[in-house]
Amino acid sequence: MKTFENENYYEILQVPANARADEIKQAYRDALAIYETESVATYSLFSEEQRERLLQAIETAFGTLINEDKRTAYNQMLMATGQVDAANFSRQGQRQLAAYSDTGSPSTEKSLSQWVLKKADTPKIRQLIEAILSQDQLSGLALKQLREAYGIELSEIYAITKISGDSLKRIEADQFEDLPAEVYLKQFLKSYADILHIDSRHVVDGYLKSMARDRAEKGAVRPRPLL
Amino acid sequence: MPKIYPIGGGKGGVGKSFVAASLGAMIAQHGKTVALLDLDLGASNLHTFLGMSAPKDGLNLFLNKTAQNLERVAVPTPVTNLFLISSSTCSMEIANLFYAQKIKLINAVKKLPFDYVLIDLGAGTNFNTLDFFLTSSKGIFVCTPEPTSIENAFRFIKAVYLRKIKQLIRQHDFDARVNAAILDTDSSAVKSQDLLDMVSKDDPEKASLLKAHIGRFQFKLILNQFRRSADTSLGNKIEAVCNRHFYSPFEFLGQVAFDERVIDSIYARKLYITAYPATITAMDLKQIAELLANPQPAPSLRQQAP
Repeated sequence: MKTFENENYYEILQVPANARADEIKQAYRDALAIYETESVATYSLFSEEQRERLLQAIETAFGTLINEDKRTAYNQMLMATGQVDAANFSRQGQRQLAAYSDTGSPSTEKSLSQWVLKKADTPKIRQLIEAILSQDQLSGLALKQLREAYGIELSEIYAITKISGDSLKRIEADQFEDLPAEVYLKQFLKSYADILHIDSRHVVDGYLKSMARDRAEKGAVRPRPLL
Repeated sequence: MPKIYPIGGGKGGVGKSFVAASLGAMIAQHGKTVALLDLDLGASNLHTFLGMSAPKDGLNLFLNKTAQNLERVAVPTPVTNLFLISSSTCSMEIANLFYAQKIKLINAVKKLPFDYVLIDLGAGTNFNTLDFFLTSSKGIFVCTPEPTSIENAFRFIKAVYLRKIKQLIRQHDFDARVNAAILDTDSSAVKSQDLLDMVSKDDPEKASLLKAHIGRFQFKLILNQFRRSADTSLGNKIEAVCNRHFYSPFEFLGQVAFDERVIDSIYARKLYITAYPATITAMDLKQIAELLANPQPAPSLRQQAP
């Protein structure tokens, strides 16, 4: 059985040498989705020891390539030893992140969900989740902080939910007067909460309460413009 | 020589016979002559999937030398161009086929005067099943998206590899240590990959010989009984994993949607795709049949990569 033994970190994650950070992150998540213990696609294919080694290799590759300093040093090593030609790295940095690009495939959703599950156990995330759950009202900022702690981009939320980046930004910024109608807003919040693996009912209720309080404080409920 | 597609997969009840009958009928509808060969010895019932009663004669006449040629025992089916070679009339002890009979049968299969031969195999990884699977390099694995089925499919792939490697090691002059390892009666202790790794270390030249032979396999995968809740990228993932970790190329042919009416069609003694041609399941099967009938399919017919 072939393993990753003779592969460099780019080959392990199956990304080009000039891959952007978001591509590396996506590739890492995809790899985890395939090689983790619960994966159906590789069920029983590897011994526990083999799987452990494969996962370790994926972690090391990701840890190196996602860190700019480590990646630069690693690239220099690859070039110095003649494993990768310098030209392969050249476009690095010049490629722009395609904003809100549509990458919504089932595999994106699955791998993101596995990534979130994996990270949900870290102390920082747990703390943020507990803070949200312990409060009656919820600000968009708390959702934003949780999203950022997971390392999820708005474009990734868009790719799965098709909620536009602008709407998500307004939700996160508590721009209550510019939000979509409540029936949509509820659905948006639910989808968003599901991605972050946090009780969606609590999120919807908390956010609506926070919105109601804001309106009460401002004295009057302004009618929404028709368009 | 016909195009031969053995259909196996390790686990029972995943729909190997259903897939064989459906694909055979659909390829025949493309105007090719197709022989369905039921080699689920001792448990053969491919005729039932075709909506036929058990043929009076079949493989038994070939094995007892009443029929000189294997094609003589092929009987027509309700589908034009589709013929069945049944083993349902064979002796109750047919599952334990003699070695010489097996070789004779395999050689006869390779000479069948049809465009396509689809071989329906039984569950498990006994030597007969593995050898029938190795009749061609283009074996098809059928499994369902459940872990138990995938586990058996991987085991089947590894068993096929091991069987082939053992054949090769016997045919070529190998290191005494390798010979000792494979001739060890406790063969379950030797995994094909371990053998390859062992040969790689001791004798790189022989290892490349093995890898070259193994590399000629072009195994294919079908995910059957696919329910809506299953991961739609599973087939592509398994294909990618197999291509990355085994020594031969794999192709995911597609998934076939689960349909309760498959059972209804069996009760009604009708070929499913005839009884229910306008279903998602039938469409899925049609796409796969087209991939097999046209070796260079249009890109639109291929599964989208994730």
